[in-house]
Amino acid sequence: MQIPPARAERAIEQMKAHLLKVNPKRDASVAQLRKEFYYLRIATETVYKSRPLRSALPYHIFAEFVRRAAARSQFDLVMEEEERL
Amino acid sequence: MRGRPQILSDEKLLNRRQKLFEIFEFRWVEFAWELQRAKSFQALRLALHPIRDFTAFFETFTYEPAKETTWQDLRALKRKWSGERSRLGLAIQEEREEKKRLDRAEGALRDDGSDDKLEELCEQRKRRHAMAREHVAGLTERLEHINENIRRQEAFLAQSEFLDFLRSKRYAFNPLNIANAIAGLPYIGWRQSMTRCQKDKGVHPHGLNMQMFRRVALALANPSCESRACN
Repeated sequence: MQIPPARAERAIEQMKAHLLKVNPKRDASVAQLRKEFYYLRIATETVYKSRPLRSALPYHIFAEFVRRAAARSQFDLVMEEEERL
Repeated sequence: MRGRPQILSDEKLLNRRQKLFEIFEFRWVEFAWELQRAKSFQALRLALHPIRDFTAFFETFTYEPAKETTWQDLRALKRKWSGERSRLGLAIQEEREEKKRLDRAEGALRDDGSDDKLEELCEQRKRRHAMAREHVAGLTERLEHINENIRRQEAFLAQSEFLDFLRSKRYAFNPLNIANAIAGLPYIGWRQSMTRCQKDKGVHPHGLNMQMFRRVALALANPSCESRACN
């Protein structure tokens, strides 16, 4: 299994491309991640800043994503609409 | 039914599996990475720390274990505990009887006034009651000591089995397999737990949270053609 990219921007691009490639009607997880891509992006940026081990990145990113998506501010809701894929 | 009677019924085992599976799925990212790398009791306990409060079941995996033990030792200790508990039950009954006898003597002394023989009898009953109480306290302490040993031995066996499962690499590292393997601990080994749980297909594998995590991990690990072209 390949390890995640070394830079946050690259990881975000990679996830975006992957999510756009898969049909959301055939995969509920993709539909949800496309809808909440804003939280995934900021979670990725936050986690990369703390420099965890690269193999642990998916775990940290997803944990941060869940945390952020669970506590949405009005600002977040607007940004969420803007960044939907 | 042939062979040794089942310590853990299928119903109980599957209930435990279901509860564990739900916790593992929902909290997967909080402990899975550390758990996958755990090679010692301490590392295992640390990995499970974020989810330890979700069910009392995790206590056996986070409790300080005994230095060493075997399933036979544990069974022998449980038999000993059972015997001591019966003795304690009898001792408590005896203490209550002694208390009643003492109360009757004290009541008679109160009602009928001072009497040398009655006073002597009362003192005698007081001593007997005190001895009975001491006996109960001694047995209770002994039972607590055995109980503590059982918990530590169970912790040792449960944690050893869990590490053995993680090292075996026979099954994919996912919430369902882990729940199947450890649902029966510390009453049965992980292999038996896995075999019995796998017969039941009632669990719907992977909720939306788990699917999303897998998707994120996949997206990070396997760049798509489009993103390769970006390099």
